[in-house]
Amino acid sequence: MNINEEVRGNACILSLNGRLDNESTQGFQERMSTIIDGGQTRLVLDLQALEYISSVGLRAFLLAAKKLKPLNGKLVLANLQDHIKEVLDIAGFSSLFPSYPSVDEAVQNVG
Amino acid sequence: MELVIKNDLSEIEALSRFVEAFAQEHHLAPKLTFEINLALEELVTNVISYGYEDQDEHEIRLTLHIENGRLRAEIEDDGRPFNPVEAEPPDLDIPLEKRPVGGLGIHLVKNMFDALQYQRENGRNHLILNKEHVTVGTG
Repeated sequence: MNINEEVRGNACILSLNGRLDNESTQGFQERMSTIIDGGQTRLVLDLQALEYISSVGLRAFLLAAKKLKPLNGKLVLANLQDHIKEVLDIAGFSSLFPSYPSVDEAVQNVG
Repeated sequence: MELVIKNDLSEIEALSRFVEAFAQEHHLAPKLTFEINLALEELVTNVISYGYEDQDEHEIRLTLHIENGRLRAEIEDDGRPFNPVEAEPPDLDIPLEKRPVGGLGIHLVKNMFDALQYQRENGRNHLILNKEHVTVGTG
């Protein structure tokens, strides 16, 4: 799992490349925490190159969102592939995390 | 196809390669391959993490089979009795701050497969997942 980080205005864009599974999720979770602790509260996750996500990955999204809530922060998603969207829909995450067809639109809407 | 793994989370990688090999042999679509991979990973992770009362080495047997457009996956383990079919579905309507962070794995599996069947036999759990109308490619 590779995570590329880019700051654009107020937004921090994280591009996830690879698998978000048992093995890689802890590193991802720690990275998100560090970013939020460092003062970034407008997060965009670009999921274009995310090959795989299981419930541990979903858990990391939820934990980040819970951490952002008292900070009035926001976590939005961009470039969902069909199989990733299916998982998010089944998990009921679509109502928790707005998603956009491109990173540009996600950045515009993350506030 | 069959794979026997040990009750160690590092075996998940072998599981994933096993699913890939099966998918390749039957020319399965990437989305279906993903669903099989996810289901087996969720269920086997549960068995390895919560299934055993001792610290000993155990075997978990996985089988994948396709016949007449019907996919059948079976997980067999000698862990404590656990019937995922009866697991309570999570409440997905509660707000973010109150949402528990666990309990999603089995929910995902139940929604991606058409039927789940559980049997406890001779001290072993047998969990069978079925998916109908699976398209098998011709290469």
